[in-house]
Amino acid sequence: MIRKVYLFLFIILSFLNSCVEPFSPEVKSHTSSFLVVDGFINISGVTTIKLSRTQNLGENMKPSVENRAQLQIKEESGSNHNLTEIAPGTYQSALLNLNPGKRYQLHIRTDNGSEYLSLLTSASTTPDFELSSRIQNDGLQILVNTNDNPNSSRYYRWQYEETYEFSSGYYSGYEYKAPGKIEARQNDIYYCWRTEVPTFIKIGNTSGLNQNILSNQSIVFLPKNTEKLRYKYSILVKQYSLSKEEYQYWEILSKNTEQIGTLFDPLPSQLTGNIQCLNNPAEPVLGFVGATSEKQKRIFVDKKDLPVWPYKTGYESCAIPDTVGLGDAVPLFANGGSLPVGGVYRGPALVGYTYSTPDCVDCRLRGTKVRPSFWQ
Amino acid sequence: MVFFYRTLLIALGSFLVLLPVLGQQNNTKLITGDFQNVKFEQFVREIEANSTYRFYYDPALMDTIKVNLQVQGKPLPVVLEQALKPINFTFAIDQENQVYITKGRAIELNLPANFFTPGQAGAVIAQNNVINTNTAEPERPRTRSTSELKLYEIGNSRSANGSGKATIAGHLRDIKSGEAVIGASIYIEAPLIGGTSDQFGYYSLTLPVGRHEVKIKGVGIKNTRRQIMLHSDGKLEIEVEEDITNLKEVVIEAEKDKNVAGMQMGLEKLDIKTLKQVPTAFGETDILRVILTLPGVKSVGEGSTGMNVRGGATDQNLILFNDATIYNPSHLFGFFSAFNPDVLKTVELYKSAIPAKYGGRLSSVLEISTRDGNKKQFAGSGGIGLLTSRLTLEGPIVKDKTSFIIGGRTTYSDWILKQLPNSTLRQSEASFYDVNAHITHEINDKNTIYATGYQSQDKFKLGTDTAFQYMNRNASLKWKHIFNNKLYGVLTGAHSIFNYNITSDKHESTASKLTYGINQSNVQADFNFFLNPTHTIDFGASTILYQVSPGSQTPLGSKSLIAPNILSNEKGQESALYISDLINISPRIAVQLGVRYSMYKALGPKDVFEYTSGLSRNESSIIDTTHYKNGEVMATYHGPEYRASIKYILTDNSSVKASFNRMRQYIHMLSNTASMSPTDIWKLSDRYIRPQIGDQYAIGYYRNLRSNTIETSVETYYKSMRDFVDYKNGATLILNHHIETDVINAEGKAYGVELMVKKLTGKINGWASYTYSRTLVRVNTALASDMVNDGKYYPSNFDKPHDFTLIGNYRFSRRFSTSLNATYSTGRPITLPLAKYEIGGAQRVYYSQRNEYRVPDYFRMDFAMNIEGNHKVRKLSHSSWSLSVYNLTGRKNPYSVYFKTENGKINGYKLSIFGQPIPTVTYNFKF
Repeated sequence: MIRKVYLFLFIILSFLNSCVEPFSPEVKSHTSSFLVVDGFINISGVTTIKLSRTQNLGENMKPSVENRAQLQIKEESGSNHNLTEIAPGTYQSALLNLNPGKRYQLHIRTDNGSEYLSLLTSASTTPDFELSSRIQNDGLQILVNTNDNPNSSRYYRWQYEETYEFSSGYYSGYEYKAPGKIEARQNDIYYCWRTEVPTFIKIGNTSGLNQNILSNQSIVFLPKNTEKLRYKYSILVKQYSLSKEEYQYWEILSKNTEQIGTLFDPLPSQLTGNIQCLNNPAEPVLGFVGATSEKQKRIFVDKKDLPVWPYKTGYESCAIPDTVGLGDAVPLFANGGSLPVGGVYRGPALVGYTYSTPDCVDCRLRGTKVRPSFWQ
Repeated sequence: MVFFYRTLLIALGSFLVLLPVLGQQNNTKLITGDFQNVKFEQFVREIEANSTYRFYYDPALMDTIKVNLQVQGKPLPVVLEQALKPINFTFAIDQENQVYITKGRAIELNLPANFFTPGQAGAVIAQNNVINTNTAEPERPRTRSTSELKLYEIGNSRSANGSGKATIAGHLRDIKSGEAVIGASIYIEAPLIGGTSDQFGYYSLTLPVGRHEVKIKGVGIKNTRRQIMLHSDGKLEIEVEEDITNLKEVVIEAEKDKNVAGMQMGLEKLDIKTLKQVPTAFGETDILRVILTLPGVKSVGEGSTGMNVRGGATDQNLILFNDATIYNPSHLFGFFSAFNPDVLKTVELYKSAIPAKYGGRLSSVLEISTRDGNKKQFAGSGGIGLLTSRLTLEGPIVKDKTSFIIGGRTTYSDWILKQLPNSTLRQSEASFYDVNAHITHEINDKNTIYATGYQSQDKFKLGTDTAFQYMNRNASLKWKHIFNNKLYGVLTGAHSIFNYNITSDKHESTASKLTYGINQSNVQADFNFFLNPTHTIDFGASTILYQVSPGSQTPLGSKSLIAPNILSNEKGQESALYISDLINISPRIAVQLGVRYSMYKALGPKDVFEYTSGLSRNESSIIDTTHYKNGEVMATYHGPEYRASIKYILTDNSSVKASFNRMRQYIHMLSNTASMSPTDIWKLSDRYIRPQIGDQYAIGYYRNLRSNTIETSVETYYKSMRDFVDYKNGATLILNHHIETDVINAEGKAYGVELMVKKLTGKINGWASYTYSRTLVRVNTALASDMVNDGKYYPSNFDKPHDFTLIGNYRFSRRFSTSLNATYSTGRPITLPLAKYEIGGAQRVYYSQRNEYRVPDYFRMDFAMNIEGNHKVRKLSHSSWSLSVYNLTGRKNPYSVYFKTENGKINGYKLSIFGQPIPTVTYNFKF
């Protein structure tokens, strides 16, 4: 609402001879982009670290990855474990079972010879947890319950992936087969699965409690009319115990919102992480490498287990299918801008087709026909 | 006994410097003659012809007097006594054999014995070298003096006390309108004893009894003087003439030697005439805009009214409008100030050495006072500008006793919006108005009542969607009672309301109304006690009750699905006692010492969250809730505020002043924007938000050149502030049930040097100022997540080290004048996004350190022309045209720098509001 006020202000200003010009501030030397380290040391499992580079604000490509680096997990007064590059910029260790009582750090040597080292961090062992759903008047709450030793870490972070079935706006019974044929559709494009990996940072702690118990910690709330709950919904939650320092890192990162730099936005703050460049301590390195383990849980929520809730389809904006005569159908469907939906009959005779845009018909544009391996 | 003395002769206006010898025993010339029914004129001629005596008298008084006298070889005094006594005339004869004849009391030719030794106890030696036949009249209730030459008798000559001193007090008023003249100097020159008239025009001087010439100098009035003969305590009401030539003339005039001789440092004083000459973007006189040209006062951008005084935040300024607190002093997001220039009289800004009377804000006090209204005749004034028009009417209700002034101002931007081709804009609304009303009633010469009402309101609507409204409403009532010449008191009651609401009705289901409100009621009693010439004591007490509705969101219409969200109200009480003493140790040294003890209580009812200690306060560290009952004290803060200043006059035209003051502030503005915006929230101190405390040390050197026509000053200051409010990253301020989780107590320091040169008179006048100043903040807590910039000092949002302002006026003639302003300042600090990257599959932005970079420097030049109608004093109406060009060079100064994500790119933009020269024309009239 406040933003609208300022928008209004800007409109008034534009009426008052105001003007907007591109502005590229001169910032201190940005000769090279900074290294970004994404991942954690998994003390019981496979450690996966992604290396990339920061980009100038004006670029719109994917960030460039850091190839051919040498990565090593170093145990304090102990052995080292190498990571290998399994995909450009993605490095993986073997399946490791590290001593949770020790402290660890990650050593990186990039292809150009720069060396980076994360601060030694004590390992946290993530406790097991329960994942459940709770029906409320206004929707469905996905909850985590976890119970750990009071002396263990009291800081938590969760990541989750949601997968759900959905259907497109219109069921397509026909398909165009080049050259010039319209046939009954063989492969359904109405039902699909869609997976979303929200990048929202979800953290919690039990530091204010006299027990290390998180009860009914909300992970995500699904409003009752969401399309996610139309057929079947599944959520995979990953839980990580964090050190206090890592918790604070994620807390600030979550507050550095995507709103940036205007006079009216919250003040963001500079955040780097726990990694240092050994050759040049002044060079910023972005990312926090903690040492922890991962626990996962998945649950399914079926429509039949829920009250009868109205739902959205996600295709509300689709117009009613238009019709096309047989004569015009082939050229129309040949150029790909429209897909046939159903047949139009006069008596028993097919005289044309209804059609709509691919966006409204083809569920694959928003999801996949490949049944996820975990789907029950 | 031989004295050097000088005196100004009344009635004839001669100026004499005499070396008298007491008594007439040396005048051996004897008079012989037979005067039978001769005119006095002839009698005098005959004596002058036969002696060295020269007579001075008012022929008009004497032309009917006949002399019947026969004398033989008598000295002149005997002869004159015989001739004049029956008709109640007296005379005086000086060393040069000049004879002064007056009605009633004789002219005192000598100064009192202790004239040059003020403060020395001892009786006045009566010098009855003249025959005094005067029978003292009973003390007149009021002497309304208008003449410079007439001798005003003050007090009762018989009741003259033995101390040799008496107090004279009264008011300085404008002869035409009866308005109080504020801040004028009233003094005698030898010995130098003086004071200034206060906000009521009241003055009080304790002088040795005897003959004095009292001089009066002030802004906007003609310098004048009064001849008085002081016998005992008494009153002298002084009516002075407005300096008619500066009817909207381009003049900055101040008490000429105030720069050097005045006690106050860090005080900026502007009268409406100064204000009117400064060109503004819309041709409207804007006090806040002018204040921003003064050294030590800055703002973050040109569309913002919030001012930063000596490195303080925008909420650290106490803005008083006739003693009622104003919370939002601007219209239209800061493009206009919310004060109608036509009703204003003076604007005073205290930057340092803040008097003990004021408290509650850290950085400055801005005192705005309105005129009392013309007590003699009905008058009006107004102006028609591009965006606004205003009209002010004033006049007597009871002549010389009761007067009123009422002023209103409104905009027609609504109408302009309707003319625009853009349909969104056509459906938009933007309007504001302000209304002032002020009544002064003089019950008698000891009691006066002042009542002021003020309201300003702004409304905006974007398209048919969100409507926005805010309002200030104030009322104050003051009763001034003069106990005696040395003591007067003022009892003030005031009530201030500020509120805003935002309504959104675009969709029925989400239609809602967001409101915020604060109101404060305060009562204060201030006393001013002129104990003796050495000590002037101010003391008083005040209490303020704050009530805040911190925010509520309620559904609008029956179909809205918005759940009501109402924050519980806040209540607090701030009380203070103060006393200060102005001690004139010697004519060269004066000290003002004061202390103010303030106390604040946060009051229930309220539910307060308890947090785990040792953790950053946030929702997940809440462990309990404490309920406080209505009126229950939730937190108490109190402490002394010291105020001290010293003045040392080095030479007649140079002085050094130094001051220290401590301020405490119990109310905080929450705004995570750098400028002041109408959606800002004022928050009371509570369990978690401690009061802000600031100390300021300042020292200055003042020197006037070229017989006080050029004033120069250098002031330097160091300020430390603690517990002012800063924000955690990503703070949410609106509708936050636990604001303490998003704010943090920060500490700061500010220092700077302010140089100023003013030329007060002449065809070319104006001022130039340069300020170097820094203001730094530190947020250093035990908790890393709450720290900003690793707990190091960083520039505050309004840290602008270099600032240069030139206000120059050139007067071609009395009817045509021009002014040129230039201002340069370093760009405001900004936190920049430097790079983007991906972590956890999401795009993140790497920022610079907070306020590590700056927006481009600011430079602007404005030009204005004032064309007056003729200057006949008596004519139906005076009118003038102002033409001005704002931003003459068309420099695109950044108002805001912002970044937007567009197609995966993050692009930076610079918004300039006044990116081109903006010409305006205003027609002003006065009748």
